[in-house]
Amino acid sequence: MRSMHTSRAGALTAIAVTGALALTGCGGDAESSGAANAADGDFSGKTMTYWSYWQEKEPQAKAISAAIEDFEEETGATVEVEWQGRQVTQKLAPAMRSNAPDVVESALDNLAPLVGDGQGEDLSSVMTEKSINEDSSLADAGVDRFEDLVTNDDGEVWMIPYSVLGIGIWYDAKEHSELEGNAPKTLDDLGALITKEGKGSVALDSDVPYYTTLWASSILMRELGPEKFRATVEDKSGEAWMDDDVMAAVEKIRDVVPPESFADGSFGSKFPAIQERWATGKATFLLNGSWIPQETAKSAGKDFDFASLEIPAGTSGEANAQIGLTGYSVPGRAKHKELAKAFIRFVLEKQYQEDYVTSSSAMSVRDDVEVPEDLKNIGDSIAAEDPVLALDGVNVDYAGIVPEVFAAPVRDYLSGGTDAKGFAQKISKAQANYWKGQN
Amino acid sequence: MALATRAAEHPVRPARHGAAPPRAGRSESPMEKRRRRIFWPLLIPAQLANGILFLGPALASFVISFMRWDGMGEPDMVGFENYSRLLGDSVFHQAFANTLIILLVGGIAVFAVAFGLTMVLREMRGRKFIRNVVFFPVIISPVVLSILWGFIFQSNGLLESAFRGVGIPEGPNWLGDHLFLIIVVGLIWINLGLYVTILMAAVDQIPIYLYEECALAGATAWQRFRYVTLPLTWDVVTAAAVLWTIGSLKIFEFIYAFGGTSADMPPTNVWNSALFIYGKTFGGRTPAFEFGYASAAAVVTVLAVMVFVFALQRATRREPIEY
Repeated sequence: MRSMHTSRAGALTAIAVTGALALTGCGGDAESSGAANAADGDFSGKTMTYWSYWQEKEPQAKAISAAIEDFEEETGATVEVEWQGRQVTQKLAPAMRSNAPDVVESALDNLAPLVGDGQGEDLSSVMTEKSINEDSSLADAGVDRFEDLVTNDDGEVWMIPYSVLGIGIWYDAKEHSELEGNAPKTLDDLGALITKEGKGSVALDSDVPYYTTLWASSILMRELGPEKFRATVEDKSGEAWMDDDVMAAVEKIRDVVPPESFADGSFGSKFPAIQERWATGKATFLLNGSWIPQETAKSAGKDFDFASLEIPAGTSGEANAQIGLTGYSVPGRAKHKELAKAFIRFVLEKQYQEDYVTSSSAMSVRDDVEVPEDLKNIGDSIAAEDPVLALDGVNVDYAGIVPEVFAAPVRDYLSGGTDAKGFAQKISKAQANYWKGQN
Repeated sequence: MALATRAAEHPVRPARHGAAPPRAGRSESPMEKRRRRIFWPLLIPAQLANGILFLGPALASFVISFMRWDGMGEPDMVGFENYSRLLGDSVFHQAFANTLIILLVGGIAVFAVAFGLTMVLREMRGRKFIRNVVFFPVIISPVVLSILWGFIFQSNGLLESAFRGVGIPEGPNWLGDHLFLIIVVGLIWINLGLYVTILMAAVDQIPIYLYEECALAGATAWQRFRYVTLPLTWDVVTAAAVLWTIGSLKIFEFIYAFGGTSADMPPTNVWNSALFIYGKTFGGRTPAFEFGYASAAAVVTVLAVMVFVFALQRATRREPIEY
């Protein structure tokens, strides 16, 4: 879900930093194994490197900097930070063989291909350890709710999440106070609500394949359940899309968001044009992530009251929140693993998480850190049931599946360029081609 | 006189690219001796840099194309597996076709428009100013141009507003339905200035009396182009064609920035080979890190373009015309 964040950074950043590697080695000697317990705080003289997902001027970086200062003071260790920004994992890939940092921070979908399959240190102990200023563990603070999502097949926890990103259908509660406490209970209710709002009520920047796919994947997951959705995507022949239940779920997408429900320009603009139009009241709904209040704050203005609806339950009956995670990993070749773990545990202390949440209007993984007002609905939905990864994580497990399989067929279907059968045929063909090429 | 005799005995040959230094012999001149002495000291640093920065990585890519490698773990030799995958991968086929479309259709359009502009500008007042205007996109970052291009062609953008201004309410959905076409037009616009400048420099060398004679003989504009301009600029045109061919292979930023977003690759139907290679390595929300497969795609594309360049050079070979 790093990429969700990444949409904020301009295209310039994406291009400019590609391939620009300015890696500095970490100082100090490799630590002896089992050096110190996180709570002991005895790391004086040691130096660790930390590659951040944020850039130095971002508010999140300022909050983390304050935590780093305290950590250095408490432990006597030195933290060399490199504020790499959103391209951190692209820089990490070539460094993984030789000059890996001790801690790397990014979104789950970015880190997964680099450290998710045995290339990272097992961080399960961080979940259960005390910290310098905390006698309780992260598990006690509810962080273990997300543990399954960051545990690989060998039972290793490859990432410690600190921020949770949710998905919701955003609207202005000031304009639509009737929706408060009266959210649609079923997909049919949601379809009726969108139809009632009339033509052009749903904003979508369809040039962002992830956003386009979200409409389809969210409804398919509600109709089929995450497991059957995943099984459909994993079908090597692509024929699973022709299954009667799957076709019925595909039809449901059109019932809920018919082509005329999308705002003018949704299928012919450059991001963030349509999102901005939504923020200025030109459309009612926007399916998007928990970063939206911050991302559209300037256009929306002070009078905009951010609120969101969960995608309601469909035939499968499941309505678990769809989320993404941002967190910390320790590459397998890191030289100061114990120090790195202590650092991660320290930054996840309640006080630093509160600073982070306040500075960035984000949600913490800790259940004792208050959710910002704008994100209350999403926070409630995440708290109610164990969340699932957006797209059930198929985009994380199978690199390139969104642009190569989902993007074009879903866009055609949502825009009315093809019917359910045409969609199924197109996606089935793209999926068969995708799987043919996988090792 | 002595000098003239010496020159006649040892005519100075034009230095060929990559030519070896003259061998030491009985009749070697002091200048040739000096040239021989400095040949290797001057050549080696450049060749070393070339070897380390270009040839080495190119050879490594070739070797990696026979491997399965994520860039981190140990690579596995897989023989021709990556190449056979490419044969069956419709996304690569599309990307390769797009590369050829940019190369051929884009190339023909660039040269046609560049020649057209050159002919118009040749006799025009303020030609230098116009030439600078046309050249301007060449010096601007393609990423910046892609943003401008987006403003023009997006829904409710400048073009649609212009259409509405002249009473056409519903224009095409440029970005939605004609994205690749707009990209190709954008690439032509970006590159035009360079080729106009090159061709104008060549056309400027043509003596004006040839055009005056054409005028006296009643030649049409096409005949002037066909029988004077084109033959007398042929060498420059062929060199420029090779330049375009190689340049078109490397086009990346404009397509990436115009078709995609900061986190997402553009839709696969507008990928060219360079985008495909990026998409299979570092690109997208969850990068694929398939360095072997991407290297195979690079090798196939480079070989195809080398064949094309060779054929182009053969097809355009002419005896130079002296005037």
